[in-house]
Amino acid sequence: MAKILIVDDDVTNRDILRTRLESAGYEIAEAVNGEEGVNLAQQMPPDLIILDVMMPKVDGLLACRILKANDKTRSIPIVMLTARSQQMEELRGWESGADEYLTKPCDHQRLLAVVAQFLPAAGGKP
Amino acid sequence: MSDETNVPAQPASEPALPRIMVIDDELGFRELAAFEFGARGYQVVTAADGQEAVLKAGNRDIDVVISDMAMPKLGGLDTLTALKNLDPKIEVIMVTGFATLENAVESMKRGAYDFITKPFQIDDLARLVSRALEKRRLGLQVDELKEINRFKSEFLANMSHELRTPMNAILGYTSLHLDQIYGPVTPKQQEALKRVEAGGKNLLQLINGILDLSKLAAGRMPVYLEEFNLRDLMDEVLKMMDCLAGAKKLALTADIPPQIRIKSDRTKLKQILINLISNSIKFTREGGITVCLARSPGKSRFTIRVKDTGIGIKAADLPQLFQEFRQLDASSTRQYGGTGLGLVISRKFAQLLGGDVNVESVPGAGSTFSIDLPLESELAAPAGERLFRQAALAAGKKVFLAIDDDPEVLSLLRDSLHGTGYEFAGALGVPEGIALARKLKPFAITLDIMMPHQDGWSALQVLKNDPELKAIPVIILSITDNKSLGYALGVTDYMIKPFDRRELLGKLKALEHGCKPKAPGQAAACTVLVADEEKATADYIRETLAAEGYEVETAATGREALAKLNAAPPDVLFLNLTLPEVTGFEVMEAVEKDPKFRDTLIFVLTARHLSGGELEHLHRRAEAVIQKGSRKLPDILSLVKRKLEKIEVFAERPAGGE
Repeated sequence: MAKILIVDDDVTNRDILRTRLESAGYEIAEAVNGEEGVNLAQQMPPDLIILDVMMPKVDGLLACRILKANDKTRSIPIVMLTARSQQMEELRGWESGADEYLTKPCDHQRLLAVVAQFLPAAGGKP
Repeated sequence: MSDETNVPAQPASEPALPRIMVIDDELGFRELAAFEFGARGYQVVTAADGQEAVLKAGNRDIDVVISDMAMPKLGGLDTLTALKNLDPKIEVIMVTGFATLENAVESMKRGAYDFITKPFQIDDLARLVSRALEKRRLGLQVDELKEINRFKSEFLANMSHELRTPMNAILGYTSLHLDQIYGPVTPKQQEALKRVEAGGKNLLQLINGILDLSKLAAGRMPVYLEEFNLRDLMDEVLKMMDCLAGAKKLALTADIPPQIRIKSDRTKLKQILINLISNSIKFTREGGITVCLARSPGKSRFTIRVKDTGIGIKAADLPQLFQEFRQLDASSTRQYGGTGLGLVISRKFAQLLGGDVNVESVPGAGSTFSIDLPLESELAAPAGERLFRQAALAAGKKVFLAIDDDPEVLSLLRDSLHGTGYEFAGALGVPEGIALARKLKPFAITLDIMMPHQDGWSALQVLKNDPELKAIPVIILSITDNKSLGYALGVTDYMIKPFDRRELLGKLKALEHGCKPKAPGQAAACTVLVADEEKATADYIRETLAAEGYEVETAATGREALAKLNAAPPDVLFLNLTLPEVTGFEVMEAVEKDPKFRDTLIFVLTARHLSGGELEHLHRRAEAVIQKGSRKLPDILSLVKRKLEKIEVFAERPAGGE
């Protein structure tokens, strides 16, 4: 089963993503801030990371840069979560190294499509 | 001594009495004024001369000043200027004799509220005072309202996160239930959940609309330009709108050439198109909506027309269509839904991109909305290079450059520098900022850290690695506090937003000292004048500083010091207070009065014991007052050098410093 790490400081958001992705057949791990996310990503490592942008301490942008600078985690696809499409355009400009961007509130069809794009074989109902 | 009137203590709930200050060297007039105005309900502060007045005004909140024109020490006009510098909103009424009427004109030029000629009736003066007070109150009120308005816009813009977060939960959990992930859902429950979802989506749209408007009002709407194919965007929009049109059995057709590359803000243009098309769908019962492109060959602009066969708009209503917070007809809102914000936002977005949105309409036959845009949008912000006037450079004004992605910060900085003699240039991004730095050679740069595309740190790297630019001091102006990294990367100073205007001006003034115009390739020596009758002291200072590359002159008397000061204002003045002929205090006074010494740093050396008042006075102008007996001379000098060092962080002197 493909493993997805969700990094978000908002418990509601983590729960919604987890429920949605678990029901689609993925195994989920959670981290509540960028720092924890980076550490967990190095221990696991997951097959994909969903990273919220606005987080206290280490935010999503910095976490993404750290993950992409590290040999162990560089190849893990990262999907950034941002509040609005406008910010999504800005994020693209940041060149944080993220592989894909999603806006909150997440449209679940788009979420699953984006995830499946990176983890094609792993999906499928349990 | 202060002869302040005794005012009974006010209960805390009552507003404070208006405070006026009476400046006159005649005790009789001071007493009379204190009595008369005290009786009229004012709190009165008096001062016997300009210096005392300035000191007192600095400590108290004075509303209105009545100042004599002819006074010893600091004259009436200079007092006026000093008071206005202290508080630009203070209102000053000048009292003049007929002989000094031309001074009255000058005082009006310098910002006095009014003047009154002697002799006068106290009632006339009282009337003037109450009018001046009214003006000050209104002025302060306007300031406050501006501030509140800014806070309001800022608050709303900052609220975006907080307002949207609950929507995540509402929409997220609803869709989980709808998809029966938590278990089976009955058709009745399905229907209810669908309504929750639709309501949530509407609410989200409304929140986004209001936040967009407040961001636009606060000048904080970012623009992100990129090159893309208009047809691709159009196809995306049509796909989204098709089901909306299909649900009303309307035909939605578009005629856009397959290849038309434009440079614009993709997200904003998409939102404009969605707003206009969904608006047309909303107000059309039968027929359809056509979207077409009009582009005159050779022109650098294009127009997209959205034409419907809807109910149309009355000619009288057209002007109100794009007005904020106004809906044509409340009943139409209830009938057709929507907030009426879409059109306003669309037009403002288009304007942000250098274009506009307009409408033509025939009631009963339909409306045509046209989006007119340049093929290549530019960052048309209110700040930016256009703010910079070429004439200023010719006039030899010092240019200050600010790099910040927030246009509001730029205009705040520009306003803060108004009237300071600095010329302001602003850049909304790093590449633009560096280009401007190369072109304008500013004497100082403020740099934001969190900017899209390229952040402040990367700008700093470019600036500090460019031989032409590395000498320009950079002040970081950021909300993030990362001083140690900043200093390690070579910044001169670090300020945390929101910045304090006075602090910024102080820093700029200090930097100015270190940034005298230099001949290319070679740093001009810092010039120093040592005014001290003790030859040993003067020689020691001269030798030590000359060895470090300073150009040092000495003066043994106050008169000699004045002559040398006037011949060429030095960068630094060491001033002993007990000079023969003309005392150090008098030299100080002359230096204080003459604007050409504005940039001269003064270090006071004295063996005398100074009174608190004298010290206070000296400290207003001097960088430091150094007691001669208290330290050995080398220590004094290294103290002075450290102070200079701080100010001249980047001045490259030929001989190495410490």
